[in-house]
Amino acid sequence: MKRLFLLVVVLVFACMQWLAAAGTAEAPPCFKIPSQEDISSNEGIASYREQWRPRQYFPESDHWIAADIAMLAAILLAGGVMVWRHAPFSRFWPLPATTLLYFGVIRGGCICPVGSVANMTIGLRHPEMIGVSTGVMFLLPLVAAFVMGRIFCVAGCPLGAFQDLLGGGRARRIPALPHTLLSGLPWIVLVVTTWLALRGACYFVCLLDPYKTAFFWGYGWLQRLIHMTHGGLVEPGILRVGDLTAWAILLAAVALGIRVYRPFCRFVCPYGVLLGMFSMIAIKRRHIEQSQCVKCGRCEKQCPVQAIMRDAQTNEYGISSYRCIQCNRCSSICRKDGIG
Amino acid sequence: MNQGRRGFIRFGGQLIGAAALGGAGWRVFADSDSEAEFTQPKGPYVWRINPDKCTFCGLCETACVRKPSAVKAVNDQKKCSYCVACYGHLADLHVSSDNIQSKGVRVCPYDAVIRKQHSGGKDGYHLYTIDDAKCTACGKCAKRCNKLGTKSMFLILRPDLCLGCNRCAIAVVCPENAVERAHSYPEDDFRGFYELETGAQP
Repeated sequence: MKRLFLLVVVLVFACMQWLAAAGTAEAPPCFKIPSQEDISSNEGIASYREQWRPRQYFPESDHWIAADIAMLAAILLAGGVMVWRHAPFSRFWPLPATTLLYFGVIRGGCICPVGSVANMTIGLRHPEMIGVSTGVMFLLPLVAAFVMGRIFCVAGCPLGAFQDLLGGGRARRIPALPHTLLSGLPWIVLVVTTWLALRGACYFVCLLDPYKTAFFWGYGWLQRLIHMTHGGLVEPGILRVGDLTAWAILLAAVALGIRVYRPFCRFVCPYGVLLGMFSMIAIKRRHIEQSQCVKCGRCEKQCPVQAIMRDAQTNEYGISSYRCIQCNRCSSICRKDGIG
Repeated sequence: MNQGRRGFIRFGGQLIGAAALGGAGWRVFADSDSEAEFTQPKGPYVWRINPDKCTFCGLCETACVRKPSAVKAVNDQKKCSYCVACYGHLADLHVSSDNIQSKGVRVCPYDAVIRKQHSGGKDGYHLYTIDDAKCTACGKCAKRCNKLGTKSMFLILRPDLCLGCNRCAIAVVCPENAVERAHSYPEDDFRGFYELETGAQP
Protein backbone atom coordinates (compact mmCIF):
# COMPACT_ATOMS: atom_id res chain seq x y z
CA MET A 1 0.00 0.00 0.00
CA LYS A 2 2.75 2.37 1.01
CA ARG A 3 4.68 1.47 -2.11
CA LEU A 4 1.64 2.08 -4.31
CA PHE A 5 1.13 5.48 -2.70
CA LEU A 6 4.75 6.42 -3.35
CA LEU A 7 4.39 5.29 -6.93
CA VAL A 8 1.30 7.46 -7.36
CA VAL A 9 3.11 10.46 -5.87
CA VAL A 10 6.07 9.95 -8.20
CA LEU A 11 3.73 9.58 -11.15
CA VAL A 12 1.84 12.73 -10.23
CA PHE A 13 5.13 14.62 -9.97
CA ALA A 14 6.21 13.33 -13.32
CA CYS A 15 2.90 14.40 -14.83
CA MET A 16 3.19 17.80 -13.19
CA GLN A 17 6.61 18.28 -14.68
CA TRP A 18 5.28 17.30 -18.04
CA LEU A 19 2.35 19.67 -17.64
CA ALA A 20 4.59 22.48 -16.49
CA ALA A 21 6.87 21.92 -19.46
CA ALA A 22 3.87 22.06 -21.77
CA GLY A 23 2.76 25.26 -20.12
CA THR A 24 6.01 27.19 -20.39
CA ALA A 25 7.56 26.11 -23.67
CA GLU A 26 5.30 25.86 -26.67
CA ALA A 27 5.28 22.35 -28.02
CA PRO A 28 6.26 22.25 -31.68
CA PRO A 29 3.26 22.53 -33.96
CA CYS A 30 1.93 19.44 -35.64
CA PHE A 31 2.42 20.94 -39.07
CA LYS A 32 5.54 22.04 -40.87
CA ILE A 33 6.18 25.75 -41.22
CA PRO A 34 6.82 26.29 -44.93
CA SER A 35 10.38 27.35 -45.53
CA GLN A 36 11.30 30.20 -47.86
CA GLU A 37 12.33 27.59 -50.46
CA ASP A 38 8.93 25.90 -50.24
CA ILE A 39 7.22 29.21 -50.82
CA SER A 40 9.36 30.26 -53.74
CA SER A 41 9.02 26.85 -55.39
CA ASN A 42 5.22 26.93 -55.19
CA GLU A 43 4.15 28.99 -58.13
CA GLY A 44 0.84 30.26 -56.83
CA ILE A 45 2.01 31.58 -53.50
CA ALA A 46 5.33 32.82 -54.94
CA SER A 47 3.55 34.97 -57.49
CA TYR A 48 1.19 36.23 -54.81
CA ARG A 49 4.15 37.24 -52.68
CA GLU A 50 5.86 38.82 -55.69
CA GLN A 51 2.83 40.88 -56.62
CA TRP A 52 1.86 41.92 -53.12
CA ARG A 53 2.67 45.51 -52.36
CA PRO A 54 2.54 47.03 -48.91
CA ARG A 55 -0.06 49.67 -48.45
CA GLN A 56 1.03 53.18 -47.73
CA TYR A 57 -0.97 55.39 -45.40
CA PHE A 58 -0.68 59.10 -45.82
CA PRO A 59 -0.81 61.54 -42.93
CA GLU A 60 -3.32 64.00 -44.28
CA SER A 61 -4.07 65.69 -47.52
CA ASP A 62 -2.47 68.97 -48.51
CA HIS A 63 -5.95 70.45 -48.54
CA TRP A 64 -5.96 70.44 -44.75
CA ILE A 65 -2.62 72.25 -44.67
CA ALA A 66 -3.94 74.83 -47.12
CA ALA A 67 -7.12 75.16 -45.08
CA ASP A 68 -5.15 75.67 -41.86
CA ILE A 69 -3.01 78.39 -43.39
CA ALA A 70 -5.98 80.08 -45.05
CA MET A 71 -7.94 79.97 -41.81
CA LEU A 72 -5.12 81.47 -39.76
CA ALA A 73 -4.48 84.16 -42.36
CA ALA A 74 -8.18 85.01 -42.56
CA ILE A 75 -8.54 85.26 -38.78
CA LEU A 76 -5.43 87.41 -38.48
CA LEU A 77 -6.62 89.65 -41.31
CA ALA A 78 -10.08 90.04 -39.78
CA GLY A 79 -8.51 90.72 -36.39
CA GLY A 80 -6.20 93.27 -37.94
CA VAL A 81 -9.09 95.11 -39.57
CA MET A 82 -11.02 95.15 -36.30
CA VAL A 83 -8.04 96.45 -34.35
CA TRP A 84 -7.42 99.07 -37.04
CA ARG A 85 -11.00 100.28 -36.88
CA HIS A 86 -11.10 100.14 -33.06
CA ALA A 87 -14.06 97.82 -33.05
CA PRO A 88 -15.46 97.40 -29.54
CA PHE A 89 -14.33 94.31 -27.68
CA SER A 90 -17.86 92.93 -27.61
CA ARG A 91 -17.68 92.40 -31.37
CA PHE A 92 -14.51 90.35 -31.23
CA TRP A 93 -16.12 87.10 -30.14
CA PRO A 94 -16.65 85.57 -33.62
CA LEU A 95 -12.89 85.40 -34.13
CA PRO A 96 -11.93 83.45 -31.00
CA ALA A 97 -15.05 81.35 -31.43
CA THR A 98 -13.97 80.40 -34.95
CA THR A 99 -10.48 79.70 -33.68
CA LEU A 100 -11.76 77.50 -30.90
CA LEU A 101 -14.05 75.63 -33.25
CA TYR A 102 -11.61 75.18 -36.11
CA PHE A 103 -8.17 74.87 -34.52
CA GLY A 104 -9.44 73.49 -31.24
CA VAL A 105 -12.18 71.05 -32.12
CA ILE A 106 -11.98 70.31 -35.84
CA ARG A 107 -8.19 70.14 -35.99
CA GLY A 108 -7.64 68.80 -32.49
CA GLY A 109 -5.62 71.73 -31.15
CA CYS A 110 -2.31 70.43 -32.46
CA ILE A 111 -0.21 71.77 -33.92
CA CYS A 112 -0.69 75.32 -32.65
CA PRO A 113 1.70 78.27 -33.04
CA VAL A 114 2.53 78.11 -29.32
CA GLY A 115 3.80 74.56 -29.58
CA SER A 116 5.46 75.32 -32.89
CA VAL A 117 8.17 77.23 -31.04
CA ALA A 118 9.84 73.90 -30.34
CA ASN A 119 9.23 72.67 -33.89
CA MET A 120 10.69 75.86 -35.29
CA THR A 121 13.80 75.51 -33.17
CA ILE A 122 14.29 72.04 -34.56
CA GLY A 123 13.40 73.33 -38.02
CA LEU A 124 16.06 76.01 -37.92
CA ARG A 125 18.65 73.35 -37.27
CA HIS A 126 17.22 70.64 -39.50
CA PRO A 127 15.01 72.34 -42.12
CA GLU A 128 13.90 68.99 -43.47
CA MET A 129 12.20 68.15 -40.19
CA ILE A 130 9.60 70.90 -40.28
CA GLY A 131 6.51 70.86 -42.42
CA VAL A 132 5.08 73.75 -44.39
CA SER A 133 2.04 74.09 -42.16
CA THR A 134 4.14 74.25 -38.99
CA GLY A 135 6.49 76.83 -40.45
CA VAL A 136 3.66 79.04 -41.64
CA MET A 137 1.81 78.59 -38.36
CA PHE A 138 4.86 79.90 -36.58
CA LEU A 139 5.74 82.76 -38.92
CA LEU A 140 2.33 84.17 -39.88
CA PRO A 141 1.33 85.50 -36.41
CA LEU A 142 4.81 86.99 -36.07
CA VAL A 143 4.38 88.81 -39.37
CA ALA A 144 1.02 90.04 -38.13
CA ALA A 145 2.66 91.20 -34.89
CA PHE A 146 5.29 92.98 -36.93
CA VAL A 147 2.54 94.96 -38.62
CA MET A 148 -0.03 95.55 -35.89
CA GLY A 149 0.95 93.87 -32.65
CA ARG A 150 -0.36 90.75 -30.98
CA ILE A 151 -3.54 90.31 -33.02
CA PHE A 152 -2.93 86.58 -32.87
CA CYS A 153 -3.39 86.53 -29.10
CA VAL A 154 -6.86 87.98 -29.15
CA ALA A 155 -8.14 86.43 -32.36
CA GLY A 156 -6.17 83.42 -33.54
CA CYS A 157 -4.92 81.55 -30.50
CA PRO A 158 -6.97 78.50 -29.49
CA LEU A 159 -5.43 78.53 -26.01
CA GLY A 160 -6.29 82.19 -25.51
CA ALA A 161 -9.79 81.64 -26.85
CA PHE A 162 -10.28 78.79 -24.39
CA GLN A 163 -9.13 80.97 -21.50
CA ASP A 164 -11.39 83.79 -22.66
CA LEU A 165 -14.31 81.38 -22.84
CA LEU A 166 -13.93 80.14 -19.26
CA GLY A 167 -13.20 82.95 -16.93
CA GLY A 168 -11.69 86.39 -17.18
CA GLY A 169 -14.87 88.15 -16.16
CA ARG A 170 -13.84 88.68 -12.56
CA ALA A 171 -10.13 88.97 -13.13
CA ARG A 172 -8.02 90.74 -10.56
CA ARG A 173 -5.06 93.00 -11.06
CA ILE A 174 -1.78 91.66 -9.83
CA PRO A 175 0.47 94.05 -7.86
CA ALA A 176 3.27 95.50 -9.93
CA LEU A 177 6.25 93.69 -8.43
CA PRO A 178 4.89 90.12 -8.53
CA HIS A 179 3.53 90.87 -11.98
CA THR A 180 6.96 91.88 -13.23
CA LEU A 181 8.53 88.81 -11.68
CA LEU A 182 5.88 86.50 -13.13
CA SER A 183 6.29 88.14 -16.53
CA GLY A 184 9.84 86.85 -16.52
CA LEU A 185 8.64 83.24 -16.51
CA PRO A 186 7.86 83.10 -20.27
CA TRP A 187 11.48 84.00 -20.98
CA ILE A 188 12.64 81.07 -18.89
CA VAL A 189 10.12 78.81 -20.63
CA LEU A 190 11.34 80.07 -24.01
CA VAL A 191 14.97 79.34 -23.19
CA VAL A 192 14.18 75.92 -21.74
CA THR A 193 11.94 75.06 -24.70
CA THR A 194 14.53 75.92 -27.32
CA TRP A 195 17.27 74.24 -25.34
CA LEU A 196 15.33 71.01 -24.88
CA ALA A 197 14.10 71.06 -28.48
CA LEU A 198 17.68 71.35 -29.72
CA ARG A 199 18.68 68.53 -27.42
CA GLY A 200 15.84 66.53 -28.94
CA ALA A 201 14.56 65.74 -25.48
CA CYS A 202 10.99 66.93 -25.48
CA TYR A 203 8.50 69.58 -26.47
CA PHE A 204 8.55 71.55 -23.27
CA VAL A 205 5.73 73.99 -24.11
CA CYS A 206 3.37 71.17 -24.97
CA LEU A 207 4.22 69.67 -21.60
CA LEU A 208 3.12 72.86 -19.88
CA ASP A 209 -0.02 73.43 -21.93
CA PRO A 210 -2.93 72.39 -19.71
CA TYR A 211 -5.67 73.06 -22.25
CA LYS A 212 -4.84 70.47 -24.90
CA THR A 213 -6.76 67.86 -22.94
CA ALA A 214 -9.94 69.80 -23.62
CA PHE A 215 -9.09 70.13 -27.31
CA PHE A 216 -8.47 66.42 -27.73
CA TRP A 217 -11.66 65.72 -25.89
CA GLY A 218 -13.67 67.98 -28.17
CA TYR A 219 -11.93 66.48 -31.16
CA GLY A 220 -12.80 62.99 -29.94
CA TRP A 221 -16.46 63.86 -29.62
CA LEU A 222 -16.48 65.38 -33.09
CA GLN A 223 -14.91 62.21 -34.50
CA ARG A 224 -17.48 60.17 -32.67
CA LEU A 225 -20.28 62.19 -34.19
CA ILE A 226 -18.75 61.74 -37.64
CA HIS A 227 -18.48 58.04 -36.98
CA MET A 228 -22.11 57.83 -35.90
CA THR A 229 -23.35 59.56 -39.03
CA HIS A 230 -20.84 58.53 -41.67
CA GLY A 231 -18.98 55.55 -40.27
CA GLY A 232 -15.25 55.23 -40.65
CA LEU A 233 -12.31 53.36 -39.33
CA VAL A 234 -11.59 54.93 -36.00
CA GLU A 235 -14.56 54.95 -33.72
CA PRO A 236 -13.46 56.75 -30.61
CA GLY A 237 -14.97 55.85 -27.34
CA ILE A 238 -15.80 58.70 -25.04
CA LEU A 239 -12.32 60.05 -25.30
CA ARG A 240 -10.53 59.37 -22.07
CA VAL A 241 -7.89 61.87 -23.00
CA GLY A 242 -4.85 62.00 -20.86
CA ASP A 243 -5.09 60.81 -17.29
CA LEU A 244 -6.60 62.18 -14.12
CA THR A 245 -3.55 64.39 -13.60
CA ALA A 246 -4.09 66.08 -16.95
CA TRP A 247 -7.70 66.77 -16.10
CA ALA A 248 -6.79 68.02 -12.63
CA ILE A 249 -4.25 70.42 -14.10
CA LEU A 250 -6.84 71.59 -16.63
CA LEU A 251 -9.35 72.22 -13.86
CA ALA A 252 -6.74 74.07 -11.80
CA ALA A 253 -5.82 76.21 -14.79
CA VAL A 254 -9.46 77.02 -15.45
CA ALA A 255 -10.01 77.84 -11.77
CA LEU A 256 -6.98 80.10 -11.78
CA GLY A 257 -8.30 81.71 -14.95
CA ILE A 258 -11.41 82.90 -13.14
CA ARG A 259 -9.39 85.29 -11.00
CA VAL A 260 -6.31 85.82 -13.18
CA TYR A 261 -6.88 86.88 -16.74
CA ARG A 262 -5.23 84.46 -19.20
CA PRO A 263 -2.69 82.97 -16.78
CA PHE A 264 -1.07 80.79 -19.42
CA CYS A 265 -0.69 83.57 -21.97
CA ARG A 266 0.84 86.01 -19.52
CA PHE A 267 3.02 83.85 -17.35
CA VAL A 268 3.90 80.77 -19.36
CA CYS A 269 3.56 81.22 -23.12
CA PRO A 270 7.00 81.47 -24.77
CA TYR A 271 5.43 82.40 -28.08
CA GLY A 272 4.04 85.50 -26.37
CA VAL A 273 7.63 86.62 -25.76
CA LEU A 274 8.36 86.49 -29.48
CA LEU A 275 5.06 88.15 -30.36
CA GLY A 276 5.72 90.83 -27.77
CA MET A 277 9.19 91.50 -29.12
CA PHE A 278 7.82 91.93 -32.63
CA SER A 279 4.99 94.11 -31.28
CA MET A 280 7.55 96.47 -29.77
CA ILE A 281 8.93 97.21 -33.22
CA ALA A 282 5.56 96.96 -34.96
CA ILE A 283 4.76 99.38 -37.74
CA LYS A 284 1.48 100.40 -36.14
CA ARG A 285 1.54 100.43 -32.37
CA ARG A 286 -1.29 101.21 -30.00
CA HIS A 287 -0.57 104.42 -28.15
CA ILE A 288 -2.30 107.06 -26.04
CA GLU A 289 -2.70 110.52 -27.51
CA GLN A 290 -1.40 112.63 -24.66
CA SER A 291 -3.22 115.70 -26.01
CA GLN A 292 -6.57 113.93 -25.64
CA CYS A 293 -5.86 112.11 -22.41
CA VAL A 294 -7.50 113.52 -19.28
CA LYS A 295 -5.77 110.93 -17.05
CA CYS A 296 -8.99 109.44 -15.78
CA GLY A 297 -7.30 106.03 -15.51
CA ARG A 298 -10.28 104.06 -16.82
CA CYS A 299 -8.18 102.34 -19.47
CA GLU A 300 -5.61 101.28 -16.90
CA LYS A 301 -8.33 99.64 -14.82
CA GLN A 302 -9.91 98.08 -17.88
CA CYS A 303 -6.77 96.59 -19.37
CA PRO A 304 -6.86 92.84 -18.58
CA VAL A 305 -3.18 92.22 -19.19
CA GLN A 306 -1.97 95.26 -17.25
CA ALA A 307 -0.29 96.76 -20.29
CA ILE A 308 -1.35 100.34 -19.48
CA MET A 309 0.73 101.98 -16.78
CA ARG A 310 1.14 105.44 -15.40
CA ASP A 311 4.58 106.93 -15.50
CA ALA A 312 5.43 107.97 -11.94
CA GLN A 313 7.43 111.03 -13.01
CA THR A 314 5.48 112.54 -15.89
CA ASN A 315 2.12 111.26 -14.65
CA GLU A 316 1.30 110.21 -18.19
CA TYR A 317 -0.32 106.92 -19.18
CA GLY A 318 1.50 104.69 -21.62
CA ILE A 319 0.83 101.35 -23.30
CA SER A 320 3.38 98.57 -23.26
CA SER A 321 3.38 97.15 -26.79
CA TYR A 322 5.06 94.06 -25.41
CA ARG A 323 2.13 93.17 -23.17
CA CYS A 324 -0.80 94.54 -25.15
CA ILE A 325 -2.89 91.80 -26.79
CA GLN A 326 -4.90 94.24 -28.91
CA CYS A 327 -8.23 93.39 -27.33
CA ASN A 328 -9.60 96.91 -27.89
CA ARG A 329 -11.05 97.15 -24.40
CA CYS A 330 -9.24 100.43 -23.73
CA SER A 331 -10.31 102.10 -26.95
CA SER A 332 -13.89 100.99 -26.29
CA ILE A 333 -13.95 102.58 -22.86
CA CYS A 334 -12.04 105.80 -23.52
CA ARG A 335 -14.46 108.71 -23.57
CA LYS A 336 -11.99 111.10 -25.15
CA ASP A 337 -11.15 108.85 -28.10
CA GLY A 338 -7.57 109.13 -26.95
CA ILE A 339 -6.25 105.71 -27.89
CA GLY A 340 -4.78 105.48 -31.35
CA MET B 1 14.08 111.13 -24.27
CA ASN B 2 15.22 112.24 -27.69
CA GLN B 3 12.45 111.43 -30.15
CA GLY B 4 14.81 111.06 -33.11
CA ARG B 5 17.08 108.63 -31.31
CA ARG B 6 14.08 106.58 -30.26
CA GLY B 7 12.87 106.40 -33.83
CA PHE B 8 16.29 105.37 -35.00
CA ILE B 9 16.49 102.56 -32.46
CA ARG B 10 13.02 101.42 -33.46
CA PHE B 11 13.96 101.46 -37.13
CA GLY B 12 17.02 99.37 -36.32
CA GLY B 13 14.83 96.97 -34.40
CA GLN B 14 12.45 96.73 -37.33
CA LEU B 15 15.31 95.91 -39.67
CA ILE B 16 16.56 93.22 -37.30
CA GLY B 17 13.03 91.83 -36.89
CA ALA B 18 12.42 91.73 -40.63
CA ALA B 19 15.77 90.06 -41.14
CA ALA B 20 14.98 87.48 -38.44
CA LEU B 21 11.59 86.66 -39.97
CA GLY B 22 12.99 86.50 -43.47
CA GLY B 23 15.96 84.45 -42.39
CA ALA B 24 13.86 81.96 -40.47
CA GLY B 25 11.44 81.64 -43.39
CA TRP B 26 14.25 81.17 -45.88
CA ARG B 27 15.96 78.61 -43.68
CA VAL B 28 12.79 76.57 -43.24
CA PHE B 29 11.19 76.82 -46.65
CA ALA B 30 14.19 77.03 -48.95
CA ASP B 31 14.86 73.86 -50.87
CA SER B 32 17.58 71.99 -49.05
CA ASP B 33 18.46 69.76 -51.99
CA SER B 34 21.89 71.31 -52.16
CA GLU B 35 22.81 69.55 -48.93
CA ALA B 36 24.16 66.38 -50.42
CA GLU B 37 24.57 64.61 -47.09
CA PHE B 38 20.81 64.42 -46.74
CA THR B 39 19.81 61.57 -48.97
CA GLN B 40 16.53 60.48 -47.43
CA PRO B 41 13.54 60.76 -49.71
CA LYS B 42 11.36 63.70 -48.96
CA GLY B 43 8.13 62.84 -47.28
CA PRO B 44 6.04 64.19 -44.51
CA TYR B 45 7.45 63.61 -41.08
CA VAL B 46 5.26 61.33 -39.01
CA TRP B 47 5.42 59.45 -35.76
CA ARG B 48 6.27 55.84 -36.40
CA ILE B 49 7.22 52.73 -34.50
CA ASN B 50 10.69 51.40 -35.09
CA PRO B 51 10.04 47.65 -35.33
CA ASP B 52 13.62 46.86 -34.43
CA LYS B 53 13.04 48.33 -30.99
CA CYS B 54 9.39 47.41 -30.48
CA THR B 55 8.75 44.64 -27.97
CA PHE B 56 4.98 44.51 -28.50
CA CYS B 57 4.32 45.36 -24.88
CA GLY B 58 0.88 46.65 -25.80
CA LEU B 59 1.14 50.08 -24.20
CA CYS B 60 0.25 51.67 -27.55
CA GLU B 61 -3.24 50.33 -27.13
CA THR B 62 -4.03 52.53 -24.15
CA ALA B 63 -1.50 55.36 -24.33
CA CYS B 64 -2.66 56.93 -27.59
CA VAL B 65 -4.94 59.93 -27.23
CA ARG B 66 -7.18 58.30 -29.78
CA LYS B 67 -9.42 55.50 -28.72
CA PRO B 68 -9.00 53.05 -30.38
CA SER B 69 -5.35 53.69 -30.86
CA ALA B 70 -3.80 55.01 -34.06
CA VAL B 71 -1.51 51.99 -33.85
CA LYS B 72 -2.57 48.90 -35.79
CA ALA B 73 -1.04 45.49 -36.31
CA VAL B 74 -0.14 44.46 -39.86
CA ASN B 75 1.17 41.31 -41.46
CA ASP B 76 3.96 41.71 -43.98
CA GLN B 77 2.99 39.31 -46.76
CA LYS B 78 6.54 39.31 -48.09
CA LYS B 79 7.76 37.73 -44.88
CA CYS B 80 4.78 35.59 -43.91
CA SER B 81 5.16 31.83 -44.21
CA TYR B 82 1.47 31.27 -44.99
CA CYS B 83 1.27 28.49 -42.39
CA VAL B 84 -1.72 26.24 -41.94
CA ALA B 85 -1.98 27.37 -38.35
CA CYS B 86 -0.58 30.74 -37.44
CA TYR B 87 1.03 31.67 -34.15
CA GLY B 88 -0.48 35.11 -34.43
CA HIS B 89 -3.89 33.65 -35.14
CA LEU B 90 -4.27 30.69 -32.76
CA ALA B 91 -3.40 30.47 -29.10
CA ASP B 92 -2.88 26.73 -29.44
CA LEU B 93 -1.68 25.29 -32.73
CA HIS B 94 -2.64 21.72 -31.88
CA VAL B 95 -5.84 21.83 -33.84
CA SER B 96 -6.46 19.93 -37.00
CA SER B 97 -6.77 22.17 -40.03
CA ASP B 98 -10.47 21.31 -40.39
CA ASN B 99 -11.27 22.70 -36.96
CA ILE B 100 -9.16 25.87 -37.00
CA GLN B 101 -11.90 28.13 -38.28
CA SER B 102 -14.56 26.78 -35.93
CA LYS B 103 -12.79 25.62 -32.79
CA GLY B 104 -9.36 27.24 -32.81
CA VAL B 105 -8.75 29.46 -29.79
CA ARG B 106 -7.79 32.86 -31.10
CA VAL B 107 -4.89 34.94 -29.87
CA CYS B 108 -6.66 38.15 -30.74
CA PRO B 109 -9.28 39.11 -28.16
CA TYR B 110 -11.23 40.86 -30.91
CA ASP B 111 -10.77 38.18 -33.56
CA ALA B 112 -9.15 40.68 -35.91
CA VAL B 113 -6.75 38.23 -37.56
CA ILE B 114 -8.36 36.95 -40.75
CA ARG B 115 -7.35 33.55 -42.14
CA LYS B 116 -7.99 32.86 -45.78
CA GLN B 117 -7.06 29.84 -47.87
CA HIS B 118 -4.83 30.64 -50.80
CA SER B 119 -3.84 27.38 -52.49
CA GLY B 120 -2.98 23.76 -51.84
CA GLY B 121 -6.15 22.68 -50.08
CA LYS B 122 -6.74 22.64 -46.36
CA ASP B 123 -3.10 21.86 -45.61
CA GLY B 124 -1.73 24.28 -48.17
CA TYR B 125 -0.95 27.95 -48.00
CA HIS B 126 -3.08 30.37 -46.05
CA LEU B 127 -3.12 34.13 -46.04
CA TYR B 128 -3.30 36.08 -42.82
CA THR B 129 -4.39 39.68 -42.70
CA ILE B 130 -5.49 41.90 -39.85
CA ASP B 131 -8.81 43.67 -39.89
CA ASP B 132 -7.84 47.21 -38.95
CA ALA B 133 -11.41 48.05 -37.97
CA LYS B 134 -11.23 45.48 -35.17
CA CYS B 135 -7.58 45.83 -34.22
CA THR B 136 -6.86 47.79 -31.04
CA ALA B 137 -3.07 47.43 -31.14
CA CYS B 138 -2.75 45.15 -28.14
CA GLY B 139 0.12 43.52 -30.00
CA LYS B 140 -0.65 39.97 -28.86
CA CYS B 141 -0.56 38.54 -32.39
CA ALA B 142 2.64 40.34 -33.28
CA LYS B 143 4.27 39.29 -30.02
CA ARG B 144 3.58 35.60 -30.65
CA CYS B 145 4.51 35.83 -34.30
CA ASN B 146 7.83 37.42 -33.43
CA LYS B 147 8.55 35.08 -30.54
CA LEU B 148 7.62 31.81 -32.19
CA GLY B 149 6.79 32.37 -35.83
CA THR B 150 8.33 34.00 -38.87
CA LYS B 151 8.35 37.56 -37.51
CA SER B 152 6.07 38.90 -40.21
CA MET B 153 3.54 40.67 -38.00
CA PHE B 154 4.35 43.99 -36.44
CA LEU B 155 2.76 47.17 -35.17
CA ILE B 156 2.56 50.32 -37.21
CA LEU B 157 1.52 53.80 -36.25
CA ARG B 158 -0.89 54.74 -39.00
CA PRO B 159 -0.22 58.29 -40.21
CA ASP B 160 -3.79 58.62 -41.45
CA LEU B 161 -5.13 57.95 -37.95
CA CYS B 162 -2.37 59.74 -36.04
CA LEU B 163 -3.17 63.25 -34.89
CA GLY B 164 0.51 64.10 -35.07
CA CYS B 165 0.68 65.47 -31.55
CA ASN B 166 3.83 67.37 -30.84
CA ARG B 167 4.16 65.43 -27.64
CA CYS B 168 3.13 61.94 -28.71
CA ALA B 169 1.53 60.19 -25.77
CA ILE B 170 2.80 56.82 -26.97
CA ALA B 171 6.35 58.09 -27.35
CA VAL B 172 6.18 59.32 -23.77
CA VAL B 173 5.28 55.93 -22.30
CA CYS B 174 7.11 53.64 -24.71
CA PRO B 175 9.67 51.75 -22.59
CA GLU B 176 11.93 51.03 -25.56
CA ASN B 177 11.81 54.52 -27.10
CA ALA B 178 10.60 52.82 -30.24
CA VAL B 179 8.26 55.62 -31.27
CA GLU B 180 10.21 58.13 -33.26
CA ARG B 181 9.66 60.83 -35.79
CA ALA B 182 10.66 59.73 -39.25
CA HIS B 183 9.73 60.05 -42.87
CA SER B 184 6.56 58.42 -44.04
CA TYR B 185 7.26 55.11 -45.79
CA PRO B 186 5.07 52.38 -47.13
CA GLU B 187 4.01 50.92 -43.84
CA ASP B 188 4.56 47.27 -44.41
CA ASP B 189 8.04 47.34 -45.84
CA PHE B 190 9.50 49.34 -43.00
CA ARG B 191 11.12 46.20 -41.72
CA GLY B 192 13.29 46.30 -44.78
CA PHE B 193 12.43 43.03 -46.45
CA TYR B 194 13.14 44.76 -49.78
CA GLU B 195 16.61 45.62 -48.65
CA LEU B 196 17.79 42.30 -50.03
CA GLU B 197 16.22 42.95 -53.40
CA THR B 198 16.79 46.63 -53.99
CA GLY B 199 19.53 47.48 -51.57
CA ALA B 200 17.50 50.45 -50.37
CA GLN B 201 18.02 51.44 -46.80
CA PRO B 202 14.78 52.08 -44.98
